Amino acid sequence: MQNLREIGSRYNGLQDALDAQKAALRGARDPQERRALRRSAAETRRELKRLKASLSGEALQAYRDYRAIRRDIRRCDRLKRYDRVESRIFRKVNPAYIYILPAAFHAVFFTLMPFLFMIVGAFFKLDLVDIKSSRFVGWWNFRMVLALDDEFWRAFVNTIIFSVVTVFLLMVVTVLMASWLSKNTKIHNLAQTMIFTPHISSMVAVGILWVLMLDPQGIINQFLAIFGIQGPNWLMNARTSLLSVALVTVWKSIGYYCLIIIAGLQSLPRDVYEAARLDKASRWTILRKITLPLMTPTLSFVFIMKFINAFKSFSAIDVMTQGGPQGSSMVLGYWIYNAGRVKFNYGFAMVGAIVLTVLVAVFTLLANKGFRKED
Amino acid sequence: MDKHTTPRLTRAYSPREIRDTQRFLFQVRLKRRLLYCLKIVNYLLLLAVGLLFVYPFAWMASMSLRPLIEALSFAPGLWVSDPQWSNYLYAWNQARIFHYVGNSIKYSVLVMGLQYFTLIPAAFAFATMKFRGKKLLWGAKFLGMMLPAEATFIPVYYFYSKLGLVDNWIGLILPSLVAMFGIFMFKNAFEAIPAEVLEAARMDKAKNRTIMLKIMVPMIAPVLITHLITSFISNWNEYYWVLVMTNSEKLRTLPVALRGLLQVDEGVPQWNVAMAGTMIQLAPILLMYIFASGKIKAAMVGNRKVKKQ
Amino acid sequence: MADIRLQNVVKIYGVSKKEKPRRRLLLKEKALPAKRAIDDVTLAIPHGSFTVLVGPSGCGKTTLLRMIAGLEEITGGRIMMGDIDITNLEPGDRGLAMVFQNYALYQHMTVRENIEFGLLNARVPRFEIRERVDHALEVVGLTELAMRKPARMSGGQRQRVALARAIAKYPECFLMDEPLSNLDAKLRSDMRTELIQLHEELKSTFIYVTHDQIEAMTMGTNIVVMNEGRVMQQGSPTEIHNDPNCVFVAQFVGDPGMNIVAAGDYQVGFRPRDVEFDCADRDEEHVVIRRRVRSFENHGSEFLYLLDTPEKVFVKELSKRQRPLNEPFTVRIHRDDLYVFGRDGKRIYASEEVAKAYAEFKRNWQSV
Repeated sequence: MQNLREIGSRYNGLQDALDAQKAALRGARDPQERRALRRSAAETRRELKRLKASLSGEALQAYRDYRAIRRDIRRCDRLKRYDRVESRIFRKVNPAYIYILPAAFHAVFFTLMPFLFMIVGAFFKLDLVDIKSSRFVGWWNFRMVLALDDEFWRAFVNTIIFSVVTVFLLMVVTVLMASWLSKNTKIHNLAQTMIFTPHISSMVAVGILWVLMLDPQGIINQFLAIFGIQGPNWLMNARTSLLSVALVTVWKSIGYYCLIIIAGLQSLPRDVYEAARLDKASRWTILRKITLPLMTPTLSFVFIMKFINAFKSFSAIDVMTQGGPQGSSMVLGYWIYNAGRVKFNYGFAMVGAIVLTVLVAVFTLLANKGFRKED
Repeated sequence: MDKHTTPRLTRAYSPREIRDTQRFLFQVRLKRRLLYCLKIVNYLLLLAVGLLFVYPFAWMASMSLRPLIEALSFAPGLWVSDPQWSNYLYAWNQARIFHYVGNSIKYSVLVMGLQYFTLIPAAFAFATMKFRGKKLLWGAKFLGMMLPAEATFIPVYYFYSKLGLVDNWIGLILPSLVAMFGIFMFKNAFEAIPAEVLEAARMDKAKNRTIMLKIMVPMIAPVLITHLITSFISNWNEYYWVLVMTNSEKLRTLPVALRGLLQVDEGVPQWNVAMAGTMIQLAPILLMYIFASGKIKAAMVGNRKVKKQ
Repeated sequence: MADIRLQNVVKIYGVSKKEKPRRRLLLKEKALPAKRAIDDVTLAIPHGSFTVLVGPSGCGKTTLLRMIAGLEEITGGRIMMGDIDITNLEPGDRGLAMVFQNYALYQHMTVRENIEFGLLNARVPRFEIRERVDHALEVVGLTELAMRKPARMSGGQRQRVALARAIAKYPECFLMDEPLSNLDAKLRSDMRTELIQLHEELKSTFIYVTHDQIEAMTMGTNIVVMNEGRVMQQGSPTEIHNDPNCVFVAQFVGDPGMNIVAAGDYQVGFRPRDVEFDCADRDEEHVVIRRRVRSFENHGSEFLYLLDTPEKVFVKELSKRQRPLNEPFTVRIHRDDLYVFGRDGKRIYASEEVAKAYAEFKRNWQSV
């Protein structure tokens, strides 16, 4: 035992000497002195090697342990120095800025700049290939779009109709279905899983599927034929095209909103219901006086989210009708895409974008207001 | 007021007496049997409604295996007597689905792999750190969430074309990397961690990044998994952004390519092949859903709870 | 060695540091809507003491502790540790360790990793970490559970892990924020003794926050009674109990606190325990009161009676037999057991004033 400790002190003594010589070497300028120091350092190294060579078995292991410990201490010292430098830097510069850099870049590049561009661009006859040849036209774009473009107004009205129809249908259907499905048996769960399937599928796949199903000879019309009804050509008929797309989007998202409402129902505090039962409340009273008020936040969330999503239903229209026939299913999002990306009428597209943004903003603000109230 | 004139209180909560025991028992038994029958009917109805949402997909699978002539009859049955696996082969090779599948995988993997390097630090900073302009940036991010992509794509497209980012992988994945939704989700998860734990970490000399990486991220592992699932689904299904930000077929992903399968110059599209392609697009997600439906449902719906808190 | 001294420490919520609080304080102190959580506290905490900060909830004791720890910004004043000004140091650089009320363990790490975490951050070499962790685990008696995660441990065990995490740092001072409040009664009293032993073993300073005066009295060697952001009295448990300097301390300490009754321009107090029962001998040095029992509490070996008096007066009798309700009985209070306070609540020591108050008290309450 004593012997092992001696090895440690010898090893550390030699290493200390070596470190001192290295430090001196770093400071020394005179070549002669440097040579001497280098020589003595080499001597110390040799001695260390000799010490190691002279050891065996337990003693060698002890030597290795002492070496490991020494290296560990040196490593920690290095890290401490590094920490000190780092903390000195971060006392001057708030590290938060490093963390938010990507988010800030994103906000500027994808939100603020496009936003400004959109507002400014609406007053120009834009030429994106050669931006310098764009002309300032004042309110001309607005006048052209808002006063003269029938297709735009049709798209606007369609957007509103589309949203109102989907939201209304969805609210009625999901609330009914959620209250029916909200139970934790295996069958209920299976049914929930099944109605959720369309939500995770892509809109494109669902759209293609329904293009097939809504074909004049498709499944829907075959089904109607059983009852002797001659189904229309759903998507190619100006009267039914918008409605058909609306129905498909409703079909796709029933599962999602249903599950949200179910989650809301199941997270309601149980003790309130128990208290109500002790207070002799009937089922109808419980629904009216307890469930509905407690569910209002969830319901208003669903309501507003659905509205906002309905404004943005681009892919469904794009896959199923391309806004046709004769603009009967044109919605704002698709109109902007058409104006900008197909007709290269960027100024018009910017005006449409502003209208769409205002529409979404109004509903989002309403949503926020609603949520704040509930808090 | 005189004590004797006060009206007697109604005995509102005294227990009700049941008189005719025999009859009462009979009624109870009858009621129970009726309820049992109703329960069975209810279950059958539930399954029927569920089928309404699953049957189209099954039918699609069946369509994808029919020969073209048979497919055009739109028969509602699911059974295919002579499954044409060559439809898939045709879609894979002739319609170049393999190329788009590769792009879709590349897109999803790139976004999912890289987004956490930006989302988590940003969420961490918003949740725990103080810095000037925090509210401003938060407001800007919020505006970004409000601003529909349909409205901003033209300016962004213009910037992209100036920077050479159109038809470019970097440009394609860039906006998804710092999506507000993820920041929101992680910020809320971080804020749900008790402040005491973070204070303990500060007493333990932990630096910001140590707190973030060693304490907070491991603690929100379930949220991370949730986000991984939702972001995979939304990226795999992404349509609009890829459509507007690409001009050539080089970078287009599967959903955009499927759209192309429907557009034929003349006659009817090859429905069976289109269905095969669609099935390929749906397959990964549907398979995932079959094996982990509970987890996926919870992830997609649970988001909202996180969001609202 | 390193005493901790707080000099004129102030904490005001709702004022950020940038707004130069000093100046605003002087100019328009009254205009500030902000709340003064800590109001000009000057305090010396001697090295090696078991200091307990005690007071009703919301009195600022936890805020004060967190200010010492560096988790709460200080609006004004200084905190010194020995000769070092630690007012603006990072929490990790103050040489302190804290035990939190809800333990604040890292749920995803094992016990060993929990304890190691701080040491790794402090860049302690590995072999030393191993030694320190083993020692800390041994002190709290958790050596076998080193590889377990906190989620699979009982409340008491978690508390021990939190302690071990603090011990392994070998800090100058331990800060404890109501560490026992989440434990059940039995475990709490066990942990109390263990903490006292730990303090004797480690010989470092403990600063302990609690709202429970019994805990304070049993554990502390140095007690600081706080109220509304101010230090009311500091001293040993005996001093605090036997020599309260104000009505607040007198009523706060003891179970129940001191009876305080008005006597002319003074307030007079006596402890429920410092009375003799059924003793009606009158003399100059005693006051005899004869009253009915209004209600009682049975404490097992003793009874606490509320007397039928306009002001609330409790008396405590060490007896197994309960006195019947509404039956009068006499209690006798010795003059030396009376404490005299002024109208403002401050203790009065001057003998002529004490005599005056005593005469007044006797005139009002002597009933035989």
